Amino acid sequence: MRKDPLWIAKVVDLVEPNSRVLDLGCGKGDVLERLQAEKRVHGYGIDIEFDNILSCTKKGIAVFQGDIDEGLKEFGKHAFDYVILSQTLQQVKRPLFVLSEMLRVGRRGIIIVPNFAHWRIRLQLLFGMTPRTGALPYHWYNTPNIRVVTIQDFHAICAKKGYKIVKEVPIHHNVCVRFLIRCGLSNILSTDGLFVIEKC
Amino acid sequence: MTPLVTKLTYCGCFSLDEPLLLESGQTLGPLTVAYETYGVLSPQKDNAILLCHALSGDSHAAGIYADQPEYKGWWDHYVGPGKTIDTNRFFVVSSNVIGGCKGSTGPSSIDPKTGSPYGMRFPVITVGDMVRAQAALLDHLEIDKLYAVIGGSMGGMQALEWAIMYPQRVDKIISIASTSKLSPQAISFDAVGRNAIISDPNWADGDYYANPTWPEKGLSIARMIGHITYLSEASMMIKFGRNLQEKTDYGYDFSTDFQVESYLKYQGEKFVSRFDANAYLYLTKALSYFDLEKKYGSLESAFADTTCKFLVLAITSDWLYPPKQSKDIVKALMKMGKRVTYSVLDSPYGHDAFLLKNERLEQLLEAFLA
Repeated sequence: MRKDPLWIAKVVDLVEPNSRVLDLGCGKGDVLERLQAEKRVHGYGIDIEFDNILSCTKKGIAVFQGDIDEGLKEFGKHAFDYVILSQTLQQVKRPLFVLSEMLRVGRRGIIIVPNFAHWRIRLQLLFGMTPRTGALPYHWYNTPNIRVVTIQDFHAICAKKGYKIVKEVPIHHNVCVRFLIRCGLSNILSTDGLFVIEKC
Repeated sequence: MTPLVTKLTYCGCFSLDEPLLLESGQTLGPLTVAYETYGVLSPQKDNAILLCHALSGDSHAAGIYADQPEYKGWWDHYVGPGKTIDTNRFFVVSSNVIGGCKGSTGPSSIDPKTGSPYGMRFPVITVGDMVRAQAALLDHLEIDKLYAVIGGSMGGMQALEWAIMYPQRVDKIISIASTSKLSPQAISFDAVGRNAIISDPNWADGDYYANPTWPEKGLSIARMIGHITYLSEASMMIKFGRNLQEKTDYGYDFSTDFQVESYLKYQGEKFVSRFDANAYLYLTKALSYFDLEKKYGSLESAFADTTCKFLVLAITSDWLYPPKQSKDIVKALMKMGKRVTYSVLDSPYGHDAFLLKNERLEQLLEAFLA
């Protein structure tokens, strides 16, 4: 079996069985595929790329081809238990609008962002290079990411907007750093931040 | 190896003696439904797909007839052994709509009460009525449940009605380049087409069947108008540009100057030989009347009891039934928590793109039917 990124397993752990789930920017449907198989969730993916629509259809995932904004506005309040936004917040034009819409149509939002404050990124910047890492694999000239965000930034915006972080899961690839993260070094050691948020 | 010719399993008619109760409150009967089938029905009867044709289509969806090798089925790219809708796996049923003129009962059929063609005495039929006649055909074929119903344009409307009217009888629905109701713009084009027909003196209030001349002029103009709506500005530009037809300069008269004029004229004249003017009136009326919101109160309540999976596809350059109209269907389905997938196919060829070979359409059909 193909090895899924770490965060997919964490998301699958977080979601209760039979939940209603909306996955914004669902890509090839890897998260929804596992959620459907392991947690019997029902829901939709939204993605703009035809190839992703095709992949999802092959996996038996219901998916809407379109913009995230457009896909969201039709849904009523709390139509979903979870709205997932994985590796996408840094690509949307109006991130704050997307976050507020997520928490309108969903009881909870699950957000995964690549952490721009990871030590490897800091180091590459220090040497004058635009950083490229496993979580941010693009060159400056072909990246779909239009903004960068750090774990610390995300905390700040949640505080400002009155979103409660119900759960935070640091994503890292090294067992040894677990202890250090507990000591408050998540913003340096985590490649991605996974947050479960809800309205206060 | 894939055979070059789709084998027609059956081509014929089924007759229903009991009259069909129509949505207008009138009845129609006895009724004949012309249909073709391709492939073999499995012993469990779980591999049947119903294809629904568009306005000017017929039951000849795939393959060719031995005596008419140039007359290919309207979806022959997609239907056949080893093709996207693989007739080695599926039993495909394709029937002609009632109200048409391709073998099923329509205004040119003989009214048993008078012994002459119905003409305008034929009752007005709706898309729902077409679906009811198809359901009667499937009863006759002893098929309780369809694996899928697939259609483009007016065929997509039938597919949607199938999901709503017979929720227990269908597992998957594919609607391509269709809508839940025509826009006033689309109604207008159909209305002008009908006007062209009834303004033709040869129309004779619809009783032209015994006359030496039929309303060919009116029908060909109606077809020309329709044809414009099936293409797109871009596809006309690609295909014709402003090129002149067998001329090096304008004629400075009112003969045909442009290639596009000549093409439309040709399309109009060709259509007259294969379509009945009254059928055109009835079928475009059925299109204009089609409105799921009006019929069921709202799109949400229309789809409330559906149980099938939906694949709704639109075409970027389709301005007759634009993508927004497909999206409205999808959004209502999503609101109701139904299993629906929406995709918009990139094509410059306008509404008619659903009839053309399109790789992405092939891929999605195959994935959804798997």
